[in-house]
Amino acid sequence: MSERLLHPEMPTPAAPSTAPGTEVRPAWRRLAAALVVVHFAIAAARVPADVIGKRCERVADFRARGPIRFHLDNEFMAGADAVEWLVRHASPDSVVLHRGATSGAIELVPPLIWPRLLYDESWVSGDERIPLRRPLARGPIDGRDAIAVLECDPERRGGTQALRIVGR
Amino acid sequence: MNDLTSLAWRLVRGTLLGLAAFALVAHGVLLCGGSVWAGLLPVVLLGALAAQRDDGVRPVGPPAPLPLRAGALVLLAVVFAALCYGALATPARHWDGVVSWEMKAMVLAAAPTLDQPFFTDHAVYAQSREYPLLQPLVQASVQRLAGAAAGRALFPALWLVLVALAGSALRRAGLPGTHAWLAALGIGTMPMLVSPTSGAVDSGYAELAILTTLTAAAAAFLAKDGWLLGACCVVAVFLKPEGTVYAGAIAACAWLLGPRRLATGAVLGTAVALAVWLPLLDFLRYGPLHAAEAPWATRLAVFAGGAILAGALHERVPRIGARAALLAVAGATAAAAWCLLPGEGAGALSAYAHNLADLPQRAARTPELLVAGGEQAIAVRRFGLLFPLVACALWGGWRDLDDAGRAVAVLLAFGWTIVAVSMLLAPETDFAHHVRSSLHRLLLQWTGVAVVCAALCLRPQASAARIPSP
Repeated sequence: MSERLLHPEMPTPAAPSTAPGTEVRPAWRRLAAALVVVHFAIAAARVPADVIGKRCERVADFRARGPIRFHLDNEFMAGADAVEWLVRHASPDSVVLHRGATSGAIELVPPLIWPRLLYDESWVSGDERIPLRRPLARGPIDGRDAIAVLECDPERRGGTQALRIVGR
Repeated sequence: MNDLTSLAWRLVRGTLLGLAAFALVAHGVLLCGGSVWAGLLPVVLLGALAAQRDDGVRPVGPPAPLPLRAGALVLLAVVFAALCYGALATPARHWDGVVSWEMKAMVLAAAPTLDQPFFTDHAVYAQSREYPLLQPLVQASVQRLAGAAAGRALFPALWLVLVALAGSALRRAGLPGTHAWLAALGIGTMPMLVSPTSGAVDSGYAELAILTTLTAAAAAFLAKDGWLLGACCVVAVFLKPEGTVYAGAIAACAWLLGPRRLATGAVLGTAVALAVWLPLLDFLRYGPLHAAEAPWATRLAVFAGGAILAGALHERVPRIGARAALLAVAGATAAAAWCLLPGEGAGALSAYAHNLADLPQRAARTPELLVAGGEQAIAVRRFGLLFPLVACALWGGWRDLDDAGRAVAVLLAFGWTIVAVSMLLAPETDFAHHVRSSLHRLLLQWTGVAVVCAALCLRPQASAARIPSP
């Protein structure tokens, strides 16, 4: 059956050593035809639950929680509060200073705070140099108005990596 | 149906040629400090599509049975609808799509130039700053013309190109309609490509674009189309860091096994793309000052000389064994040059290349890599039974492949070798984690070539036809 699906145009060869009407195909072609059939059965079976179902779940989750909570509020990353603080208090043209780890949760911050730019604090000496001629992100921190610095914990495999806002 | 095949082929060929032209012009504009005009992409694409003419090549062999065509169309339509929903409903939801590709698309949509802090000030956080910019540029161009959601329509559109490419290329190469439809369906429903996971169509990763480009390269070998093969090399270089290695592999394969027009197209495409890309790479890695000192004119001369030498040698060295020996010498020279280059070098590709000297020590990881590769080969949730099928088809059908088919099979072997070596050269210290997180995505990039290769091996000998020349 599967062999005919792959090769409907193949003429049935004369097969004197087999019964009349019996087709002789190399074993590897029969195996390949069986693999093709099983492959498509697997692919088709995955469409309802995986391709459609899981995709709709993820989209609904993203819409319900918003991009910041979707990416930064889970068992491996805890940074949604800090990034929401930045989006709430920092003007869109501001520069956000950061320190600490440069991989992991911090990688997700630039797209979530865009058009604000994330800027390495170590490149800023004192308050006299204002990077990129843009205002520094600031807001109420510990009861006072201060320049905000986003601090990122080191990555720990299996552990939670946190982001937090600290004053400068 | 013949007209449909011809139309699909012209559309995908025009798209690839248009993308290559856009990549060269847009990156050239960026290199000169300019802004990429939003209308450039549609103008170049429409121009390339309009330039496509019916070459008169018609499918031979019987068409697919109507139930198969209808069933395949329904399944592909359902998957396409799901992919469109996934791509358009939200911004990117997966890691690299968010932090790298779509981030750059947002930056370039706001200002389509490198003359902005995100690219010029290295204190500004920019993940994988030195990555090629073709995909973000295309997404940003569409976004500026029609909005953010339209920009993400790029991904299901590329999936359509991929599906049409696999089907039309095989049909034009003389395979029966059944084979062409099953190949199109196979790549269009590849579990890892259509599930909501990293590397899938709507994840925003560049895996889909690289996969489409490599599949187009296989199609170009079948059609003996030097222009298309050259365009594939150009697009590969401007898509991802590993695209440069892939373009080299395509050029090497064409030079080794292809006719002169294929070798010329691939070598020239790679050389021209690198001549534009490498100075831009210096700019992104080191900033404007260093880029201004980069000897790009020298590089251009070296690439042009290399391309001319490759063309001349292709004529004078007809034996494949001698060509393979020359290729091995050239490859070893390039590897030695990388190893001897002073300094660590920045960027993804440099980080791998500088580990070349450690390859003998790193070969100790081979057993672990083989086990991981074996696991991926039977990971039905990602690739179905593609790898067992390819192994079976190559084992039984290799001897019956014609020259073009063998070129595709060798290209696949080159690709898998590159994937394996890149795993061994990875700069990451946690090898097991790196293999677990990257191997499947690199293998996904070559699934289109694998599907084409399997279909060619399974070509029924009774109706096998010689591949028509354009």
